[in-house]
Amino acid sequence: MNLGLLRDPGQTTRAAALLPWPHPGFGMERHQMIALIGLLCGGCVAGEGDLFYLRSAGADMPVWVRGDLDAEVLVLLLHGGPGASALTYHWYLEALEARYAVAYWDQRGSGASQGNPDPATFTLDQFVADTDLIVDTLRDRYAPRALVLLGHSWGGGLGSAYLLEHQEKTDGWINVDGASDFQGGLEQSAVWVQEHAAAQVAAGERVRYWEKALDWYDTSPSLTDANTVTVHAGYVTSAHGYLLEDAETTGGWTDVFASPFSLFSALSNNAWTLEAMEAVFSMNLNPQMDTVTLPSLVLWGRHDGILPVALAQDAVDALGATDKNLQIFEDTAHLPMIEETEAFGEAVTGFIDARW
Amino acid sequence: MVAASRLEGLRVLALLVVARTAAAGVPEARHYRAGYLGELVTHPGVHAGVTAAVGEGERARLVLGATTGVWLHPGNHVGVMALPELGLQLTPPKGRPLTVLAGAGAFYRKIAAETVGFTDHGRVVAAFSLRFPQAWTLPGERLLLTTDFLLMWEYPYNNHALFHPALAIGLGWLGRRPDP
Repeated sequence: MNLGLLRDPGQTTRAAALLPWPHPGFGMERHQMIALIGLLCGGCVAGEGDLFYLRSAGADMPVWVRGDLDAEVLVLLLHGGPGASALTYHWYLEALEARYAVAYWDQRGSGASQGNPDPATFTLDQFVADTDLIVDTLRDRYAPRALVLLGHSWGGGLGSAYLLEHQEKTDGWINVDGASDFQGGLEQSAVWVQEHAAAQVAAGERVRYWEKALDWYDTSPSLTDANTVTVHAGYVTSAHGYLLEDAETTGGWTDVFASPFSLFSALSNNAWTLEAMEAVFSMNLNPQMDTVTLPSLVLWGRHDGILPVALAQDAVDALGATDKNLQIFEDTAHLPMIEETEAFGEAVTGFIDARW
Repeated sequence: MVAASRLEGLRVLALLVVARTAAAGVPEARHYRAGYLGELVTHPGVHAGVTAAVGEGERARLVLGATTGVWLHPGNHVGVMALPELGLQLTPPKGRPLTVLAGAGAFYRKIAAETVGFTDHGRVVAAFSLRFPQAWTLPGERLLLTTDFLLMWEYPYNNHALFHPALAIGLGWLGRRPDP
């Protein structure tokens, strides 16, 4: 799960770096130079790749297809949240873009998604219906030989829900720290934070802060509503359960000024949609996933604090596929594409190239 | 179908609040301005506007204004705004005058890319704004260099208000002082 705007209890409200959202990188690399030039000319980076919007049930959702548009493999990225954004993951998926077409889709009420859809449409069923429209549209526009779903965090939950209804329309499944068992994940996450808090108190580190956290978990209701989950996510952030303390990020703020991405849209969408979709916090699709038989790859960060690593084996075991693999990233919390970009790229391209 | 979809999102109610610090040495009068409008600075566009003092008191002055503009966020949207303004200019015993205006306006959004499903996306929605203008007289004292920092909110957008900060830089022309 990605939460772009988090309250860090006892500290300040902040936009946390929980998703591949513009992270300032001061070493100017080629792609950053391109982005800077785009910024200076008013946003011509938007001209990269193929960009279109798909209208569905009141939402106008951007789909930005980048990389090798003529490739036989197309990867559809399902972003985290609910309510985060896909458009800035591209900084971390260059290895994929070098080989395949990669479609970055902002879900309804997420990222740069526009319109004013009825709040009643913010359901898992509608998100699955949107995903189906996107898949059909991508197949129609690009005619890929293989279409692979890559779901991260909440996107892993959405992808799982989609596959339960439409797996015949896709060829492969990559689940990255995914929320197919959102309910169990949050329960384990609460335990993870409390263990971290107790260890910090024992070590004399930020004792008042972590004692307050332990008090909160003792008295708070279960993690089933957006407000409670947001507070919890703030503690996960403080415990470096999204990004490790020494994580190095790349990417650039240039996306804010010179791409289809919209920072303020992403921030406000994130908060609203997280609340509108809070029903998914009680979701567990694992008992049904044995009907999914696609070649599958499960990738997970060893130190994930919001969807702890114990969920990884559960996700693999739940799948009905015979061709399924698990890889753990040892130096990663929740965002392996950021924290171990090269290894992540090798894992995904290795999986795809061996099959399609 | 297209005509209907153009109208279905019509929501004209809007509010504009403008705070202005008048430039020292610029006599209060009607002035016109036009120039660059950058939503989030780099999303380019143009703007034009007029501001006029229409009534005077000892320490306060009634001010009317209007601003219109258009910008492009590449790959995201084209925004068109029209914002009438009404307010008071307050003159403290010391320091620069401060102008605060409120008004109503409208915002039109169109997606700046191909939209699969329908061809038309335009809609008019409410716009809320805070504006902080500055002006400096240039030689001749009738030509102005104007800079405006606008904080605007578009509503409704995904069931909430979307923030649009913008910077406007332009040239102004100082009109005649209104008759007392």
